[in-house]
Amino acid sequence: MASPAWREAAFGVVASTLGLGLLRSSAALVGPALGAEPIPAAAANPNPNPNPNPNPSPTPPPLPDRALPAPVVSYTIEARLDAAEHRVEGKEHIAFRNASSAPLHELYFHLYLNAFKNEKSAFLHSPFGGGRSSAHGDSWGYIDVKHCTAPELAPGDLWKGRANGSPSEPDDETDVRLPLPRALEPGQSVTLELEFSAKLPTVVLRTGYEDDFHLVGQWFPKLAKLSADGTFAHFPFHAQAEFYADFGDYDVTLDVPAAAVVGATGERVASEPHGERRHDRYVARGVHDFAWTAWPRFRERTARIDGVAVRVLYPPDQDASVDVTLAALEKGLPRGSALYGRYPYPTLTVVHPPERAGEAGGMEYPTLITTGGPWYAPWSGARAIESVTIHELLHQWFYGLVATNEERSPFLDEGLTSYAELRTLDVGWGPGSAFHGFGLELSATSLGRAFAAERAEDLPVSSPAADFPSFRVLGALVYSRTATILETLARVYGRERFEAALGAYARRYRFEHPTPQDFTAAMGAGLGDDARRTLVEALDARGRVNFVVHELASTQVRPPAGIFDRADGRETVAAPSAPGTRHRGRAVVYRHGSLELPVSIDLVDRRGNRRREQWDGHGPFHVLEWESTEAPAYVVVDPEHRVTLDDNLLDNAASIPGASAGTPRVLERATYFGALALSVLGP
Amino acid sequence: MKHRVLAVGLDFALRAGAGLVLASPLVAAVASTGITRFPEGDRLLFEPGGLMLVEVARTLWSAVVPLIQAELVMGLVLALGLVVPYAVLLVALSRREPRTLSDLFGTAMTRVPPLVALQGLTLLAQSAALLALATFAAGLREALVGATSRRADLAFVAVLALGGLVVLGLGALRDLSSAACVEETLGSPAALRRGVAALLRAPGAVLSGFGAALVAASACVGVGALLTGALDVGRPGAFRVALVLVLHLAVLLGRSVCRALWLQRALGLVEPKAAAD
Repeated sequence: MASPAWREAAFGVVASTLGLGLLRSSAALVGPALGAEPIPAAAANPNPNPNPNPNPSPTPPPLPDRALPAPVVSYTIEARLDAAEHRVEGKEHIAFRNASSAPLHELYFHLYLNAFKNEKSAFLHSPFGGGRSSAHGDSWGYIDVKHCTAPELAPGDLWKGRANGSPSEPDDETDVRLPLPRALEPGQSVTLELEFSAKLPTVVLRTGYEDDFHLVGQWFPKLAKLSADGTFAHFPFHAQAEFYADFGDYDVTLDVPAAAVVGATGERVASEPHGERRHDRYVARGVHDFAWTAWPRFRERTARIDGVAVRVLYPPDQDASVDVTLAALEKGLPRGSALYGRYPYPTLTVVHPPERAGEAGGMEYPTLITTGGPWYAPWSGARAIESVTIHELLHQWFYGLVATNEERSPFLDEGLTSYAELRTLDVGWGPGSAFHGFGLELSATSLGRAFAAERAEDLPVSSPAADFPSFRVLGALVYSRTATILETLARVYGRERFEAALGAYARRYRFEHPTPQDFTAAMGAGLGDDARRTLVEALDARGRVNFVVHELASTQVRPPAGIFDRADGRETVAAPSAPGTRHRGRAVVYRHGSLELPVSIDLVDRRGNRRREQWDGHGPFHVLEWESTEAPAYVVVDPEHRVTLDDNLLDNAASIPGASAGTPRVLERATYFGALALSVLGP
Repeated sequence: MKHRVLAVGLDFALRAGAGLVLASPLVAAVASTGITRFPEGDRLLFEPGGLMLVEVARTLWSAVVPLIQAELVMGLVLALGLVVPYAVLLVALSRREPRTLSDLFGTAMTRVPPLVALQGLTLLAQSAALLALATFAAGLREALVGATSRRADLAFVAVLALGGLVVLGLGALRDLSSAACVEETLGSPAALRRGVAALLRAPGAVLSGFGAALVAASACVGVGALLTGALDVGRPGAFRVALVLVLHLAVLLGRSVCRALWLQRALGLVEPKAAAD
């Protein structure tokens, strides 16, 4: 039987164990409440990158910026917001020109709000749990078109003849085919008159309401993008996909409650009170979408940045966040204009949604972006507001001006934007561009690289949005891996040439709709054919690369021993008893994966002296042999981390036995924090 | 006096040693990633931008949860083991200061079981309080959050801060009870009653004594953090690592001294004379 003293000790042990369990439960409660989430991105390597291309072509001067495009489809809309019922009643006048080379016998409309109509929509039965959203809203959303007429073609309501535009999704109502009573010849125009009633869902992704806050996106009947061959790029609205449309002019009059503070695509050209309501008219030219927001509690801050009238709408407790947002725009807007062509619009509206409508944050529309982040974000050390603001801002180029098909090739907008975002963050905020605090600096590129490496082989980066099995995979490949591929090319082939090539692509296809082939061709024109092949392999064929150092060995050099037949007879040379003074080393560096990228290899001796060799990256391995007076100690591949696409950076070095550098810093720091932590658990 | 210095030194040394033991699995895991094969070694983990730090974290990610679980169990065992130097410190500081080392350690060892009981009870109570307040705080935040969240977040933090105060208060009560346990050779229930009585009798004295020690110890940690940042072990130079090691040991020693000063005060607060007063 235990003595009373040891019974006490046993009680203490049991109580401590129980206490530890409770402590872990507390941590589980506190973490989510504090919004503990993984942060995005990673590290700019400060080392300069000498260009491995021995004969670089001179960087061409940037192309001049193009003027606004001739409209293919223009919308004039009168919309009335019923803020209590969260409905928008609208009249829509569409001026459409057949800009293709073929006669059109039908039109395709996107009714995106029907994605939230029922659980048979493509949106709601797609892998939603892993999609961009965490919920599908508490109330349904939908859009009803009351009628559609085209007096120039035929009298009567054309809408009665509509059909499902995507037979593969028979229950989906977001893609509608509308037969025309007679063909619309190439170059011919038609005017369509529609009346519609839209019911907004509670906020899901980029649209909806929360209490009296409304973000009204994808809200009107919208024509699908017309291709040059007369077909339409139409598709059901998928949870992981975004949009695609022709350029045109928008003239939208919003009838809203008088107290509502409104932000919208384009420039406000009129605002007239009408009793308890107000009519605000917005005009936007050369854009391909129109979104707006209304909330009586918005506060407003304005600024002029790089000649653009910037307007920030934000909740009352977000003053500090607005400072951060404007600082980010101060860096991002001039940089975007300088690299990718001047921002062509007079206004930019930035919307910071209220807390409960946070899912509305982080979205791009022409001249209107939404940002987000908690009120304490400016003091948290994480660059969350900067990151999302810069990302959505740069979409003005890679989505807004270079209007690629977001459903078919999401990497062209999200991937290029992510590269530009991470680079802007690294340039603007240095090595702490993702997080800085507690003595730690994490760069956006470091984190992005890690996400990219996780899903290297899942499926091609250039896959259509709906092909990705989850948004987690899409995020890692489309966003992070594209950015890392481009960052690697920039570091390997030279930043200046890379940015010039990307800028030339952005200017060449400004107000156009380039394909992935247009993009890779443009980059190849700027960087060379090796770079183009690497890019295509990495984007289309799950190309990957991992440099691995194996077989590092060193021996002391001595004169050859043995039996030698010489001119004057046979000679037996004995092995010398004393070791030689020189050392011979050998190492083998392997390249795993299909991407061939040139790298530097450093040989480091025990005194820390370095000797550098270049490997063009061709072939499966490269043998290094050398001789020197100092014993070799280490071999390091890609010491300046140019190939951020490398699957595993930790196998890029090898050391001879006894040369291990050890982990004194980790040991010291972990011991110290361990001792401090024991003060929490112990007496 | 000699015994007191020895006891403080022992507390410091064993705490640092326990920290080293606690750190070992993590250090071994980091070393296994291959970072030591680079000529810069683990200096790469402290470089600005954190490229290699993130890579190591990514490599170890799947092992993080088991590693934390193992560390928690090990930490619990070590924390209970630290009751021994705690007992030695209390005996050395008590009014019947031992004459010999064997007297010091012999007396201390007889007090270890009730001190373990008090420590276990304290950890249990602290954890329960923290769990209850964290649950309340999360619910309160959810109820208060609306179009804006500042008020809800501040309420959340305020409740958590209250939880922190409760945890600290329970720690002070443990020290008072432990002091009574050593000073009066009491079992844990009686010592706890004596500790509660001392707290109720002189809350101001407890607050000032415990608070001053806490503030001083926290200041040591804060200054240490600032100087560590300035030394920046991410830059080349083995001397930086050595200086930071010395600095952190100095911080731990400072904490042990602060603890000793507070425990001496606690011993005075639970004296029968103080109770009679």
